[in-house]
Formats: sequence, C-alpha cells, structure tokens
Amino acid sequence: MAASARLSAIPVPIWTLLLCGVAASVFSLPLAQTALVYNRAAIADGELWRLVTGNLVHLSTPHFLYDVTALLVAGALVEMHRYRHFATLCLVSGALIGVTLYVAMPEIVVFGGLSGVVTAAVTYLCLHGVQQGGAWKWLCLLMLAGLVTKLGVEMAFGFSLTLGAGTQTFVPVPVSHVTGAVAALLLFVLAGWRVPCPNRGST
Amino acid sequence: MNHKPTNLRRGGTVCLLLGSLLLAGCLATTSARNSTSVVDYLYPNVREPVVSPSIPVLKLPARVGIAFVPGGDSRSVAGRAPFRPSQGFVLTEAKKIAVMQDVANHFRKVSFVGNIEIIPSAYLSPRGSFANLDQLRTMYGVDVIVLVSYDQTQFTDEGLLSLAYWTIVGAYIVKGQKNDTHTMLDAVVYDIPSRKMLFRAPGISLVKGSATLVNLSEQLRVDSEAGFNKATAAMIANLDGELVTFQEKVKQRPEEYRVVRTSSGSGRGGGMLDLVTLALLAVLGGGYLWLRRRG
Repeated sequence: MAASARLSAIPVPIWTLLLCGVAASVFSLPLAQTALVYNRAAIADGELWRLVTGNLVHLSTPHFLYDVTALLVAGALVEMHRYRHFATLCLVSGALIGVTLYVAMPEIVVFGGLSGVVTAAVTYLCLHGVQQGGAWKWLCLLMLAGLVTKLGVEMAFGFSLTLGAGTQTFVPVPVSHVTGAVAALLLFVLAGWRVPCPNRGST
Repeated sequence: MNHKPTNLRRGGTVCLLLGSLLLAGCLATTSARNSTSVVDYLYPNVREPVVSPSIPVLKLPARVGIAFVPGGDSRSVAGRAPFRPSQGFVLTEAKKIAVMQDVANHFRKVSFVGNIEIIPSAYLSPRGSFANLDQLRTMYGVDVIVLVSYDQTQFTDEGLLSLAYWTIVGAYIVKGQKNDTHTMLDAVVYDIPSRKMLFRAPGISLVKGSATLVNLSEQLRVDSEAGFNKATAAMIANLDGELVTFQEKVKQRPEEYRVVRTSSGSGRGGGMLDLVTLALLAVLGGGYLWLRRRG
C-alpha cells in the first residue's frame, strides 16, 4: 500500500517522453529530417529554426538509440525530482548549441543529435542534486566532477569514447556537449538556484 | 434474311480478339524486366526534358552523395509489349549499399573529392526530381550526387523482342536471345545547385542463358544476380576512366566549370554520446533507484 502510494507520488516525465517521441517521429520521417536538420547554408538563407530543431535529427540508427535512451534516463530523473524548468533547459540548450556551432564551427555543414541536450540534462540534474542532502548529494557531486573531467579531456585532446567510433558517417562534435553543460549552468544560476524545490532534502 | 455476313463479321471479330489476346499473352510472358530510370526520376511528366543548367561552381574538396534511383517496378516501353515483373534476384537495400560502397571507394581515390555520403533509399522519393535532390543536399550537405540506376531484362522466348535501355543520353538497343540476361547499371553524376550533369559511367553485362525448363526459374535468378555483379564491375571500371577524363575536362575548360577551393571541413557532425556519459547516467539512475528503495 505504502509502496503504491510512493509510486503514484512520482510525477510522469511528460517533457522527456514528449521530446523522445518527437525525436522518434522525426527519425522515422526522412522528409521531416530534411526540414529540421541543422544545415549551415539553409540557416544562412534564413531558416533559423534549424538552429534548434537540428538537435532532434539523428544521422544513423545507433546515433538515435544511444541519444534517446540517455535522454530518457536523464530527463526522467530531472522530472521525477521535480527540478523545474526542464522544458526551458531543453529549448535553451538546443538553441545555444545551434548558435555556437554556427558561430564557432563553420566547417560543420550538417549537424544532428540530442547528446548536447542530454549533457545539459545531466549537468542540471547534478547541479540541483548537490543542493540536496544525504547520499544523493555526494553521488551528484561525484558525477559532476566526472562530467567536468570528461568534457575537459574531450576539448583538450579531442578524444572521445564515442560508441561505434569509426563506423559512423559523421564526426563527433564535443563542442555541443560543452555548450549543453554551459547552458545548464546558466539556467541553474539565472533561474534562481536558491529557490527551494518542493522535495528538497529528499530523494 | 441472310445473317451470314453478320455472323462472319462476328466470327472474325471474335477470332481477331482471341488472336490479339493470345499474342498479347505470348508477348507479355516473353521477358521479365526490373528497372529504375534516372530520366523518370529527374524529369517526371516531361516527354522531352529541356535542360537549361547553369555553369556549375565546384567547391573543392567536393562533398559527394551516392544514391540508387528509386523505383524498381516492371514497366512497359512505348510501342512494345508489356514486360512481366522479374521473378529473379531482388536488388535488396544491403546489396545496393554494397554497390554504393564500391563506387564510393573509387571516388575516394580522387584528390578533388572530400566527404562521400551513402544515401539510403528511404531518402529518395519516386519521381522526386531536383526538388528531392535539394532535400538530400540539405540533409547530407552534398553538392554533387551520383545517381545509380539499373535495367535488367531476362528473355525467356526466342528473339521476339529487342531491348532498349533508356538512359539520360538516349537509348541502347540490344537483341534478345532465349534465356539471356541483359543488365545495365548507370552512374550519372550531377552538380545539384546548377542541375548540370557532370559525367556518366554505364556498365553493361550479358549472361548467356543455359537454363532448361526444369531449372528455369532458379537459373534465371542466378543469372540475374550474376548479371548485376558483372554490370557493377563494368560500371566501376568505366567510372575510373570517366573520373580521370572529367578532371582533365575541368582543367581544360574553365569557361564550363568554375572551381572554388574551400577549407577542408569535416562536413557532417553528430552530437553522439560517449561511453563515459552513458556510464555516469547508469550510475546516477542506479543510485537513484537504490536510494528510493532505501526510503
């Protein structure tokens, strides 16, 4: 009885499911992919939505599966903890990734993938987590340290333990991960990290 | 009343109809054809395509896409009997990708080619024309596309039909013999922004029929696959020559081809997760569940 009451108290991760559903729909519709993918020339021609929607497009089946599975876990954890502004985080990180690639990486003509948004979600989750008490705080702190180290290594050495490396027809773009993490940090600070969450102090 | 002329006329009409049906039946089962057409794909609903390409600006290193023209149904050719659909070897997506990989490997040898993308069939719409090529350009970031089409015919009767391969530059006519398998693969290379055909490389094969009535369908299937393989090899051999010729042509005719050198970029980038992030997520998820269970 108590267990079922506890389960019913967990919120449904609506935004996560919605985002994954949209990504799945886009992946199954080639026409939608061509309309939404980040394409540098098309953006220069005024199709600015591609800066954000490019994150929803995936360039191969493994690419789609890894990204969406990771988003399901990270997004669900954020929403089940009732950390606020998750939808805003997805939108802001997606836009920031698009703009950063456009400004800083002119050699990238076509881009797709949700991994930057996933990195934003993980960072956001850990930043909120370290404010809470108990074991969850220490776990999040450890994860945050691991994430920062990984991003540092990726940027400094251009080394990435990408799944299926060598078999993909595109190059990994670590800048999108760093941008996602920065977007999460900015939103965390700007949205007022001192505002108490409804379930602060518990996991 | 004399009904003789009417009856005769009726009888004649019936005979004529029966004869026509019989003849159509014979002709309809004469050949099996499996084909796709660059002409149908690029110029649908146009009887005589009028092409007015602009001068192509080739950005080097060129980003090249390779795709099979969609289609693959049996077709009838104007003025000839309808072909029955091929019961033979089916050109699967896996086989198409293998052929495209072969073509890609030959393009990689050329200094002016940068990235090469193999484009799955799902991204090409039948009769999609240049609008569809523009979509591919957006999705894959390619400026040049290699369109591969095929046309295979297997004759199962003696010399009743000749065969016309309709290509982007006209038709090849070949004479059919019993159980022969004629195959043509054709790689046509287009510059997408200017709509200009840069060059083409056909590959033709003939597998002589050796089937008997007992093993006819099985042998035709084997011949069909062999025909595709031989035509692919011939096309790739031609492609090597055409690539060299095209390089020379670009150098010799600057008024026809403008060349712009761009910084060599990776072209296509993907935000893909790495093992470290996935491991971190697994620990976080596991930790969350463990802590919840502890209450």
